[in-house]
Amino acid sequence: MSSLKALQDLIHEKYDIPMSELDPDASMRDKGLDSLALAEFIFAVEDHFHVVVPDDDPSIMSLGGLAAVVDRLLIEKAEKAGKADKAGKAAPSDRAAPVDGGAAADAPAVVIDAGGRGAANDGDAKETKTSSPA
Amino acid sequence: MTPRDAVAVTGLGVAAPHGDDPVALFEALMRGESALRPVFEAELPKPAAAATLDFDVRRWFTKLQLPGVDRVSQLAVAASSLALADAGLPPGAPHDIDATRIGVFVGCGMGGATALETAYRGGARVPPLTIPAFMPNAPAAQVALRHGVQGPVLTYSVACASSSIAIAEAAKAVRCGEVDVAIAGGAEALIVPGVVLAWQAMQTLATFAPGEAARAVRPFAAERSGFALGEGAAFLVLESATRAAGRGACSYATLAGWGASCDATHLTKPDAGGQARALRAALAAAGLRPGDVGYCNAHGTATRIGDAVEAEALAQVWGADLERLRVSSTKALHGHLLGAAGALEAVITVLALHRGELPPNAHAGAADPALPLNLVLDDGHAAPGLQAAISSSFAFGGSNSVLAFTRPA
Repeated sequence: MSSLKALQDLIHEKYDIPMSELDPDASMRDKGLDSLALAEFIFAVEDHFHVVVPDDDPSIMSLGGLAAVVDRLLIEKAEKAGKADKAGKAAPSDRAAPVDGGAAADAPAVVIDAGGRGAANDGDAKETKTSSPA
Repeated sequence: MTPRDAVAVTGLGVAAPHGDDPVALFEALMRGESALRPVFEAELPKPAAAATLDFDVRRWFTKLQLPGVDRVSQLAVAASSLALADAGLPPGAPHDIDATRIGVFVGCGMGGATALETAYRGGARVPPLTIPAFMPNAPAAQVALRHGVQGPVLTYSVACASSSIAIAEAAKAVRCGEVDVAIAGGAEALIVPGVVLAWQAMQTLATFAPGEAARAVRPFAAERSGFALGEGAAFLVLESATRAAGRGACSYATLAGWGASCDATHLTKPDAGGQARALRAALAAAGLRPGDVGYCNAHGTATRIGDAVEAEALAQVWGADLERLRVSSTKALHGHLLGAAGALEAVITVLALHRGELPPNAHAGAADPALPLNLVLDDGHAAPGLQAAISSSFAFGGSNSVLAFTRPA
């Protein structure tokens, strides 16, 4: 099931943008979200879906593109959870050794790292980056 | 100073515990109405009182304008907009003024306390806009963004003297012709549990019996026990008297002089000698003798030592004229707005002069007999002959700032 409706509800609730104006193919910038609002919105999306949205994917600038990315991340998360489940059943006593490099599928989304969306010094080089001239 | 050089106060705006109408605020003070209430009763080991405001952010911001805008900046935008409107200058981007000739001068002690509290104590991930929301110059930046100001946009963080200093610096910029119009004031919004706990740890906040929060702060009283925090923003519009007269603007008062000094004796303990230097400097700059000044809106934090040192400083400067100087600390009613205190109290001082009325030094009851001040006790007083008034702000760090206002020429 696509996450598009949930994203539309989220952006409508956060920024009072009428649902009728939330065209999946339109740029969110054109709806008035500047780089700061976009950074905040992506953060809220990550919290809502418990995923980490890659900020170097230009497709996330539209709601439809962002929905596709979130859908893919949710499928990957489910697959990872499935593998972890199987591994858990195969070795029930080994609870401290999750598969796939140790990233538990239900772990909270990670904090923004130094090279990530929130801490770059190149202003709006990426549209979703927080402007930080200082 | 000639009238031609005078710095006129042509607009007042507040977002304060007593509301967003400066006249209604002043009248509430005259009636002795306290805005202090108990706060965070379930979260603090000791009770604390504070003056908060019921602020409708949607009057000033759309949700799309709010990302990265802390409450302290929201209050600054509201109060500065009201000040510009009061001055007859359209808020937003003024069309008839060169934007590069407008300056913003803002005092702020802490910055976005809510953003920091959320980041440090929220228990979840740190929001991505914590830094731009928190940075202490955010209120000034948001004011500039809202009004399209392209001249100097400056922030002064001088603890409790921040916005008094900001107003003095703005007046200098107007006086020397660096700007045509200055939007000057301050904002503070740090009534969050972590900050209140820190102030309680400093042992400076007023103690009070259950049900007595509104009367907790008793400046210059024998039984004083400290201050209560307040939040809010206040702004003045400053311009030359010549410019104001040219556009037919009302001038509430003249900002006739200002004085700054530093104790350089102790980080937090005040010093009468340092305060006296700022008082003398403000009088000298304004061309006033002590006996010319009829009212002092005191710093008056109601701490044991702070009030005693301030009384001593006033006695040093006023000497035999001290009895003629009426004194009140309005912090008893609106709390201590820290970085915004100087601006709010400047607005109150300007209105005292403009209306010829002195707001009371509330809750003093039996004034401390050791302090030789002529307090405005009980209700406020009419003072139709008032020609000059001062507002004092003395900061942690030892910085002192005094603003001297006179009736417009």
